[in-house]
Amino acid sequence: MKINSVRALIIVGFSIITLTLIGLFLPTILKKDNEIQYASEAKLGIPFELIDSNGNKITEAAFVGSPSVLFFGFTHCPSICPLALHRLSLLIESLGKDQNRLNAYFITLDPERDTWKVLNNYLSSFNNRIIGITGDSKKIKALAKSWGIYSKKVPLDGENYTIDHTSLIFLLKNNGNFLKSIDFEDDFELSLEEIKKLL
Amino acid sequence: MKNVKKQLSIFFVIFTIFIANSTAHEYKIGNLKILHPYIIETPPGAITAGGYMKIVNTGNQSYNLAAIVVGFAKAAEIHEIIMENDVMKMREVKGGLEISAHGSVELKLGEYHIMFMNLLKPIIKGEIYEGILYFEKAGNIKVVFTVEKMGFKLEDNN
Repeated sequence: MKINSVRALIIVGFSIITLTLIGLFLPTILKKDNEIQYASEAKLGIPFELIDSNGNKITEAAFVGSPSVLFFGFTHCPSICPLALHRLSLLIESLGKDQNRLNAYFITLDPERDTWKVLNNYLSSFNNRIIGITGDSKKIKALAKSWGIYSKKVPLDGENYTIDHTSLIFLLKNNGNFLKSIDFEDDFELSLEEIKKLL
Repeated sequence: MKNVKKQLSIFFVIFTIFIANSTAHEYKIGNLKILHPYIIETPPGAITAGGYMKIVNTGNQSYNLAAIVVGFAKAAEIHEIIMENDVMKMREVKGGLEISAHGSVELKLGEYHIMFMNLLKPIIKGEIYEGILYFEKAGNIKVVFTVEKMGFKLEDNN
């Protein structure tokens, strides 16, 4: 009887200690899990030397120092690219003063037609934080591939062609690492939150 | 076949010039109602643009939007955007766009659209952009495309 009482006491005691320990460490364990999920960043992309929409040389260094958003597209694209750039412009404008801490790049997948001057003109109707990137087509191809962008030329009637391409907007941390992607069709407020987290 | 269609359409362009038409944003041809044809304003230097509208069929048979002819672009085709694993693909809708009996089709951003290629003049609000839509079985109709800002949605407007 006595032995049983002692045993019960030990069990209860151990249970209390175990539960307390779990209670104490649970937030840390969960937080760690969250952090791990959150820090699913990846080093993507290769070094490059291309031309920006102001006619200046641009390299991978542009993606470091401030967080960035990247979008790959082409100016002959009739709806998705302007739609994505429009969405991006609205998102940038919603950041208010903080927008100066975010860089945005529109990388053409059609450098043959999209010279820096074409990009400069085209981008003038969107938020001026969005800088175009073009240059040698082989370098562009390699850069797009290194970011996991699918891109394929598809002939249309005559000499026209369109380009099938990944239409996600990439969010990069200030170390240039890929953090996550958003879609131009995503909920606006959620996308805005994701961008704010970068800043 | 396509050339024949194009020639036919060009004939109808000339033909319809002589027919009085309305400039309202709703058109009727037989059992078909065409609601608010519009083009989304293009960024400077763009040489392609998308044309949109809603087509409602109140008839007992299906109709086919087979061709579009405009004076402000070298070519106009019906295209469709297909999203596949985050990849955007644009394809011509071969054989025209079907509007089923008692059905409707909305051409809108990111889905079906009239793809205007090699624009002969930029798309600017305030300018007039006319086109001829040719429907098999219903004939053709001249429409005016209004110019709308990016983000415009037809349902907000109705």
